Amino acid sequence: MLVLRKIIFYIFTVIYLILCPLIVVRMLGFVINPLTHRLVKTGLIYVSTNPPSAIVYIDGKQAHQTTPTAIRDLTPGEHFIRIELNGYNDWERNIPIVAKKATVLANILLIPEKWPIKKISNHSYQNIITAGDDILIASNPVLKDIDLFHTTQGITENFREENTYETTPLFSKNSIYNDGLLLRLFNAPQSPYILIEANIKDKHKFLWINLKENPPLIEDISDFFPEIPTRIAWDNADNDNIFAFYPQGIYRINIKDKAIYPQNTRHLPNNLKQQEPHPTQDKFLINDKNDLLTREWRWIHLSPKENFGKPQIYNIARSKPSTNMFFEDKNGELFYLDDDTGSLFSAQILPYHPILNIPIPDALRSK
Amino acid sequence: MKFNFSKENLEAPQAKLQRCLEILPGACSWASLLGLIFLSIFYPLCAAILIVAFYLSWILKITYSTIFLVLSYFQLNIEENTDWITRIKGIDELPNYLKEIRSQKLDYNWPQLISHKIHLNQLKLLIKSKSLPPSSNKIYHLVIFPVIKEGRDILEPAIEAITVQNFSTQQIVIVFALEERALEPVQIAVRELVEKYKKVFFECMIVVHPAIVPGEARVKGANATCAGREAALFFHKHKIPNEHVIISCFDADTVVSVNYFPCLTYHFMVCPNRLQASFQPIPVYHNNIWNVPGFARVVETGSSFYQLIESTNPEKLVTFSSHSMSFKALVDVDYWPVDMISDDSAIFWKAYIHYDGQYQVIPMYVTLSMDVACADNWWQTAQSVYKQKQRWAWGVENFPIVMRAFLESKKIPLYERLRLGFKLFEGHLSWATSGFILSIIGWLPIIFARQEFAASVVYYNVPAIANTIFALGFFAICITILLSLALLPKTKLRYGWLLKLGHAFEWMMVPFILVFFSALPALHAQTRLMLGRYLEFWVTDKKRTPQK
Repeated sequence: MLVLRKIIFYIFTVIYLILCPLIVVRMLGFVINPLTHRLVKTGLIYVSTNPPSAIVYIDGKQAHQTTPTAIRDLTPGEHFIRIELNGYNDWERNIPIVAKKATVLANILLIPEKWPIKKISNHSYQNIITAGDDILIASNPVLKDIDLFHTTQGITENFREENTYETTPLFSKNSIYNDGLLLRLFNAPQSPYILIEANIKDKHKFLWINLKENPPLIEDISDFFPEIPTRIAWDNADNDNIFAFYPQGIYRINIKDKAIYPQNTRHLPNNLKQQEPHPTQDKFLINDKNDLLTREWRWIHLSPKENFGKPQIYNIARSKPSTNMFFEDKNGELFYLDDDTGSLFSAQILPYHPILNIPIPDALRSK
Repeated sequence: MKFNFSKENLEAPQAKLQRCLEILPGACSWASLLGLIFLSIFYPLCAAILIVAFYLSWILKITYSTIFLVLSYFQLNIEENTDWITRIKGIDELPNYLKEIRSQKLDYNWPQLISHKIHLNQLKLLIKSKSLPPSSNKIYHLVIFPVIKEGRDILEPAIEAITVQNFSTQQIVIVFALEERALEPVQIAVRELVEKYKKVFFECMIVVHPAIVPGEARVKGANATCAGREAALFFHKHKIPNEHVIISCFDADTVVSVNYFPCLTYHFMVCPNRLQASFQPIPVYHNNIWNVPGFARVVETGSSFYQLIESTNPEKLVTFSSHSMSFKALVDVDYWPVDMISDDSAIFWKAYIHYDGQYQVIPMYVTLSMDVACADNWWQTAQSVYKQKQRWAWGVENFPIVMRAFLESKKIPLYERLRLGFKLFEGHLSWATSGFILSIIGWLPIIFARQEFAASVVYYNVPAIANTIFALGFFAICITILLSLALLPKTKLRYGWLLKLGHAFEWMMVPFILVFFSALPALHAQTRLMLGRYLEFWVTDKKRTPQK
């Protein structure tokens, strides 16, 4: 046994002494050129696509693995890369490779042959705004025509399937506010509350609506507004206090205590000091901030940030001017109002990648 | 060589050297870990090269170890059915026996053939050495059980296992080395056991070790030494020469297999240099293996495997845990160190230095079973296992003493001093660092990569190489799992196969175990030694639940 041990020990030592420098040299990007039999420096290219599992061809040769993948042993200079995936347009570029360096093509967004666009509602709307994490409010001048959508409702693992979105009217059929006319609609980023200023039976009303509840809980807080404020705002961190801005000053209204307090501007939460309550959002950085989703007048465009000398802009759809559009990160969908009909549409921009949903015990959920 | 095998009572220059050597292992381990972290942050390319070189050495090491683990396991199986008693009786009449076995016709049973071949070679060596052993009926076994808090539930199975040996119990002397500070119930339990087994053995006695003895630390070695001295008087009184006595110092929970003493006697008899030798069995931890949490099972199976691998290399084998040795050697070296915790390995080094390198450890392919550290709950068990591993890793205390001896010695060949010194040092360094490098530090160059490194070929090649190496390592783990399943004792529980299947999956905890129950306790022990915060002996929690 002892002799065998010594023999194997020496064999392994020799293997180590040979393999170690070889592996290190290989790791540093050196390979032996089969033609010249000389050591040459190489570079590599790392490709990841959205969606993944695309086939990569480099100078016409198929890579061993689908994306994401690193293709090694590339000689310095330009190499022609083509990426193919069924149902998507081919992606082709000449990519420069530098010795000992990695060229990274991260999160290349593959453009579908046809954008998967679906109509969500037959109704026509004036604008859309968001509330909470996944609530989309499609507004109309008459209160009974304001609808709610849960933007994550349509998630399915394959976005090509027909997804369904349930339309829920904000006010129930028998609501006393149904005939009211919408004057202004206030929201706060991420807050599940909205505030509606409306004219109901010739009376100026302010309705505080909690969208967390089903059906939404509506509270008439008109008494707190002796005059019509220029602006109303609140912070999602504190949904009990809303701030009414008047030319003469700011008042804090505590919904819970039903009390009004004069408010010093200095003590106003920082995010409320800015004046623009509902900016129309026209730009989204998507796909891990690699691509830009923009709107110019009516057209919604997609333009990759990294274009490797081949700038390209892809038209997605036409939207109603001066309305909001909303990009849902969770399922990669863009919501907008159609230019012709004013109906709510969604376009699947990024493929949806489900995250393993671990059920949370109810006891914990309530905490 | 006359040498003070202790860190105490040293002259000033020796004390300084001792202190420097105490600092060395811990300092090197910390320097390796911190150095790699530093390089990972500031010179990631350099760190990546070192880490890949380390990974490669690791995979070769693990492959090498797995080969010998398999071979060692086969040898353990081969020797399982060996009739040691017939062999012992044969050696008593060696010339006739040698003729007999040479002419013996064997079936084509390859385990039997291998065992026969090894046996024949050992006999040839014995005859060649002309150092014939005493007759087997003149060989006595002294078994010392140091006791401090172990109850009857732990001690009785250990004694019971000796009574059922395939060896005359009238050639066995049992000594309970009882600490004076042991609690009364423990003392009563020991006295009851002595009463019960007095007539079964040649002698069964208690030696009480005083609570405070000047110059002694509160360590097991001090207790065993006290018992050893009493036993020496006993053998002298009965006119039994020390040369005819084999001492086995067992942990209180040691349950020997039925062939332990015949196998030990055989190895003692066939070893030409039997009076300067220790005999190392394979320790397994089966007494309560099914009552402990999964991680503890994996940790201890790993320890058994380590010993199986080591047993294939007698040139570098060091005694570990419960083992046996020549009583004459023990007396010659003046018993165990009385101020060291790692008495099991320290006694080997003490003897090795005393005999100027003319001392060896003979591996024996026979098992003895001990308890896995086990406490009342998972967390306490984890603490117990951690402390036990830290105590084992405290074997690093041998390093400065052995190095001092190696620096002084002129008779031990330089090559041997370098070889063993390097093995001792590298063993402790690798124990404290490998787990961290494999599980955590190896990924740091990627985690801390700055833009320049992240855009290099190396950044993408390191994980690819690491993944390939770890995939190869997984094969070794699979073999280890299979052997572990084969080595585990049968369980009387219903659905025992399910337990075994579960155990296979427990091996997935290896990265966690490598860090928390191997590298961390070792680094902790080395750091304590480095800072001069010496460890005190701590008795491992042992708990058994009867199987339903």
